Amino acid sequence: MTEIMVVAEHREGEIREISLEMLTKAKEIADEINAKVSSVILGHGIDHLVEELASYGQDRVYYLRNEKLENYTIDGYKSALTSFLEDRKPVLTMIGHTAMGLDFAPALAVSLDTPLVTDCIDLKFTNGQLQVTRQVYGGKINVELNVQKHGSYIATIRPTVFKPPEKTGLKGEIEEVTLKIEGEFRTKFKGFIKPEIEDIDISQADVIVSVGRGIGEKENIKIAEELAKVIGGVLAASRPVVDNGWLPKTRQVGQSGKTVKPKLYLALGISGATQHLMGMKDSELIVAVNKDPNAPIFDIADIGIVADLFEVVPVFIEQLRK
Amino acid sequence: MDVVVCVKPVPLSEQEITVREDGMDIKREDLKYEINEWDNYALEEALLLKEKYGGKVTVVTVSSEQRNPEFMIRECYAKGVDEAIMVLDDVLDELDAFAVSRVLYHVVKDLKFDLIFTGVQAFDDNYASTGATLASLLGVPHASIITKIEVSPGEGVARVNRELEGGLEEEVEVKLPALFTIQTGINQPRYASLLKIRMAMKKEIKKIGLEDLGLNRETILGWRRTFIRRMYIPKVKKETLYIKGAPEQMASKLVELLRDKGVLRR
Repeated sequence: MTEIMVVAEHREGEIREISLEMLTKAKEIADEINAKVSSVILGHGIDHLVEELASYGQDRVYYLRNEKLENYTIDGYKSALTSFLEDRKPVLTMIGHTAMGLDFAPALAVSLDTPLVTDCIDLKFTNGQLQVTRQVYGGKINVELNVQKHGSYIATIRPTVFKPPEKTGLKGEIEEVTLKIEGEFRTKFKGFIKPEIEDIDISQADVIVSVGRGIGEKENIKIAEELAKVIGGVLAASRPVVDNGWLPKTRQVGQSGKTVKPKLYLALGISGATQHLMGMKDSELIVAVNKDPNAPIFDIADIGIVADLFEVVPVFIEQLRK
Repeated sequence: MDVVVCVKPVPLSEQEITVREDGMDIKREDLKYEINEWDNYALEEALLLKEKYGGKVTVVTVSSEQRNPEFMIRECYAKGVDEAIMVLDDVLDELDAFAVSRVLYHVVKDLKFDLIFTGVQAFDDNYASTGATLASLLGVPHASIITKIEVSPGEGVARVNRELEGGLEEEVEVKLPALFTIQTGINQPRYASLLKIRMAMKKEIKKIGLEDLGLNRETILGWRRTFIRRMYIPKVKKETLYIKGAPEQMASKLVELLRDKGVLRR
């Protein structure tokens, strides 16, 4: 029977959410093409994670156990998954479009000579051919692609697009696969580097005033700072502001920064790149101020103001003070 | 330390980008192009390594004429790049990430390098796969989403930080030669002065065609693995209430709405 293979991701003793999100989509596709869904997890000394994964209702969990897979390395994953997937030949291998997934998926696609599509937000099979939807131009445009007909495909899946399934209580079958990983690794894991001690935890705030590229220069951040003070919120930022060194990394909202869900998220001069939206889209009320009416931030905003933030924000502060 | 940097001209992100009537591409007339933001950080990192260890920085671009790659290359020269190689053909706009990686492979395989840099991803196609694919084709190790590089030329390794999710990073040691995909924020890219750009007008750009690489249009089109069905502006899932008017009106309306929703303290 054809098989859809989800490559599960785990880090520091926890299964990462994307592994479960992919299961939801995998099951949906499997129902349509009459396939079974399996997960594969790589590591060492993670029996409890394997058991947990098996409780999310899939046909089988393959456990590729090897000391050399204790921490993620491109060499370890590529070597183990190449031989495993060559053997299983799933019709579709799903990998998270994450720091880990986008590191090894292209290498795997080359070594297996399999078509790869990345950062998919939707996918389906039509007459055996894979069709996917992706976002391009910073999320301003969607594109649907046909992937060249092939017996096997690899796709990386954007996190937070699909909802993780409930635990079923039923335990799927677990199959331990022993494999040899030979040769010296060219890439060695040396350790994790934790985020710096925070001046403030923005994920705890009820109100967040967040600034983006549109703030223009460091000096202008004052105006957002003042708004934050008056409205009783904390100051945060999107990536470009932090990249420029105008605010510390602890203030960054988005995939590589903090995920926040405040009661009010005020986005000033933020265009709304996907990586940023991932970190704040579940806020209760989103207000966006941006000059560009086509900025993707307006797609998820509850209240939109198409204007120059430097014209609106000072008046807004004044009126709040009244 | 010889570094090859792959750079791509992409549409300026602040422009309005719309879809062509046939839905097979964006409207490209009148678009302005600039170096992809991630590639700009990659270029700066290469220049910093050159300043520290000596060696040569070569930029490679694979582009159509309409993206005006020459302007981007002049800026690269003005910043201190030693050599630029430009593969120019309009068919290159038709390629997907995999086919572009294979064209890049044919350019880079004959160059001398200790390191290859690409950006993590490109603003336009957003694949985030070109660098890792190129490394795999070349048979050199790679590491993605790099936020710090320390090279030990004597040991033949580089110690790099990879950005993971939620503020976490990991340190990885990689054998050289290697390819790294560079994340924004790793450095503060320099600006090229107008004077230097003008001076760079005289520098030679090595322009090569597909035939110089032993390739032709048919071959590289055959490398594609994805084909566009249609492009469209995504449907908005949320109903956005737009506030309009003069700044004072907009501000007071916003205050009123926020009070109604109970998110203001008073």
